[in-house]
Amino acid sequence: MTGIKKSIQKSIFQRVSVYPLVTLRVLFGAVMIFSTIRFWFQGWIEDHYINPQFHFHYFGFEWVEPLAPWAMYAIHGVMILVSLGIMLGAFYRLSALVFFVLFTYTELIDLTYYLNHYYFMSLLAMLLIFLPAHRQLSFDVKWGITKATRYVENWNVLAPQLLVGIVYFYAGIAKINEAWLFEAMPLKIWLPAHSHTPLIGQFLGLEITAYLFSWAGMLYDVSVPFLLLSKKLRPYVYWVIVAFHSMTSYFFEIGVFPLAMTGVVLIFWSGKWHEKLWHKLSNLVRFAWSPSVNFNGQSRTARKLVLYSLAVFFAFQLLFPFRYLLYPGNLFWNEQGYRFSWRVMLVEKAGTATFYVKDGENGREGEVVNSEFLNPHQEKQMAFQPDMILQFAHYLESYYRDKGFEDPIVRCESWVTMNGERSELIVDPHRDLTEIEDSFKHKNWIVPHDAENTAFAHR
Amino acid sequence: MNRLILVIGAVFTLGLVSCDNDDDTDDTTQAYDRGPMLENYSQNIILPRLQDFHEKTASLHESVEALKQKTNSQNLAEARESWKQAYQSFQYCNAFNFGPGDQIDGTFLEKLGTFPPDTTQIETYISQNDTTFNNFNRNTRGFTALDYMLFNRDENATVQYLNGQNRMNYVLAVSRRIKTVTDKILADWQQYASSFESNLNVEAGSPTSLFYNSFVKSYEAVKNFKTGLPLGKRPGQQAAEPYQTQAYFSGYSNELMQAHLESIYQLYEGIGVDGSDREGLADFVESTYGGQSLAADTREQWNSVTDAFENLPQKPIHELVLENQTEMDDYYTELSKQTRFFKSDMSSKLGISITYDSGDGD
Repeated sequence: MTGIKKSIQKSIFQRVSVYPLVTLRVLFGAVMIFSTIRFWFQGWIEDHYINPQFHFHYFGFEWVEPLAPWAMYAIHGVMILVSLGIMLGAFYRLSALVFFVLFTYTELIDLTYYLNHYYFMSLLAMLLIFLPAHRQLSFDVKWGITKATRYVENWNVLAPQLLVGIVYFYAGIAKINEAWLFEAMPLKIWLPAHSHTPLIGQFLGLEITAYLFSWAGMLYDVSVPFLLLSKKLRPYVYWVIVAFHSMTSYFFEIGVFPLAMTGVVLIFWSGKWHEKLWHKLSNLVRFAWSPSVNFNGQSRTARKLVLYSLAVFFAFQLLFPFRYLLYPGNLFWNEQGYRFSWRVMLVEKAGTATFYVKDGENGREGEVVNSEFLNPHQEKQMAFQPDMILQFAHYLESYYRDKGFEDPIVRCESWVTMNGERSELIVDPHRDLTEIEDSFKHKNWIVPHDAENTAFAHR
Repeated sequence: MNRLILVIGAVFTLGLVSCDNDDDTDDTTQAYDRGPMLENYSQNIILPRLQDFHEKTASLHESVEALKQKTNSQNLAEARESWKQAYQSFQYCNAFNFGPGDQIDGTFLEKLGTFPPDTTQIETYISQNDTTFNNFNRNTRGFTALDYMLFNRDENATVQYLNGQNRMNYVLAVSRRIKTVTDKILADWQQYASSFESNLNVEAGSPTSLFYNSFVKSYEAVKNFKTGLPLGKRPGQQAAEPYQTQAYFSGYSNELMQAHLESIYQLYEGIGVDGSDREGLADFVESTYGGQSLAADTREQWNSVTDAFENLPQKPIHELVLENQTEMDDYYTELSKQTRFFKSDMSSKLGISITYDSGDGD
């Protein structure tokens, strides 16, 4: 036992090249600069944070609200600046810290815009704060803020590798389900929509293509982290990665994620490879190699702290996605324990949610026009996610209470279609949602998928 | 490594071979060619509908000019008739609020179709002889302003009312504005048509997505604004509000609603002005997995909508909401049931993106 422990300890703290971290730092910074500028130019600061009169909150983060418009723009300006800091290794740790805090803050403002890859970026930014990625080829070294080194402890490279590995692997095992593998859903819906694509377009309408893509996607996600460990396969695997991400990027509107992943996976390449790369590049830009300082091991307590922190961080990463097992019912329908688990593009869902508000049991019931409160994206996401339906119901309660209603009763009739099936009601249309509080407990007001819902027939 | 390439090659060949086999079977869906659909919408529906509306607005403006020349009851009757004709024709253009129909100063519908009128504000502009329309009070112009000015009083009283210089100026300015807005959208559409027809994407901002969204909004306008609001269906409304009806003063709302319903149906099916049914959203739906049954149920529900509408007495909506609430409620319920078929079921089946925001990546 102690032998294994020792060898693990040894491998975690053995010295490895710092250069993979330099690559990671530069690419992460560059992608985030691009991503933030893109976000700004799409007008999304306005659309996501400034215009909506109501924001859907993350459970436990109800206190996160957007700031004044100028502050939201300032935050994005600072994010671009600190991304540049990360990239160039200028005030690196501070930059990474500020980036992590601001980026995570903007993500927490509204649940509507939750994306797994933003969550990944947030986690990676957090990790970067602790990684000495600035100790070579950086302004921090040039300015004497930190000493250059050629080596770092192995955990600095292992941690981002493991994080990337988890993202792929978990995305892969999430695809191991009946709909994805045996019905080729939702690709059977999504691919034919791209039948005008040159060359391959004619194949996209075929059923077999959807199956092929489903299985290939699953196998790809599950195996990539392991294939990347093989030095021999790595260069070939990279072309598969580039091809895969280029394809998803072409077919689906998924923003900067493909770009980010094709860059971040390079963390799996050997220290030597990165060293050679930077040797060439630094000659090109005439950025002097810094004299290397000898590698110093850390103290026992420092090592212990590292070990425990990593253990806690990764235990959470490994276990949290499995919390769905604690809930009954269909995960894709109920979405209890769905987020923060690398379930990406797994299901096609859409709904039409109609809210009814009544002032007391004997009041006249009225029907809400959602678009008067929500932007199209919010309305769309809310219609099929029960926790968002509940939040909106509570918002309507307080809105109409302010309008003079004494006891607003809010109910919702939401018809949801999953993977192209005929719509079903997702929440009990007779329940007064104002009397329900959200929690980690099972939501018994969700109508189970495929329920004999004659009891919930229209009105 | 060579073996790996061999395996991948084998899998793809296998895939292609089975594709060939699948071509013959019925249950394999061929990807829908959106080209003919977009061309049908553009050439057989949107352009001819705009052309027709353009002609009607020209004659509306002519008759208003004649009314200004000689403000008598005969010319008023003609102006009223051509207003009806034009407003009727406009119902078939209700969903064209994208591309040329979506400008920085508002959509085509907002510019011409906002109701009910703000009569106090209209009278204020008239007293100031202000016909600039340099403001965002869209309920002081368009068809709704003429509904008020031409129909608020009986024929003789209206002639009397219009005999003021300022009032007739305002009517003329409104009809001219209707005409210029329409001239522009028609000209712009003639330019835009080819790019509308040739872009076959379904992403947000693509012609298919823009058209589909505008179609759904047009449908929701019938339910929420033309029916729900006058019927008092909003939270906080204590009773029916007849004044919220479209064409309240002329009492022409029933005919207009019928035209709007017909236009929605024709857009869904892809039925052109010539009455022939070509490629449309319905055909696109039918081409998808399980699309046949969705299309069938969509039609069935639509029949319930039109049945409920036809069940209404032939009276203006503002009278119906007071005198025939049960039948109106039934009609409204059928419209509500229709929503999900058009809104979420259809977009989900077709794989149309509605918003620009990025999705979850893989």
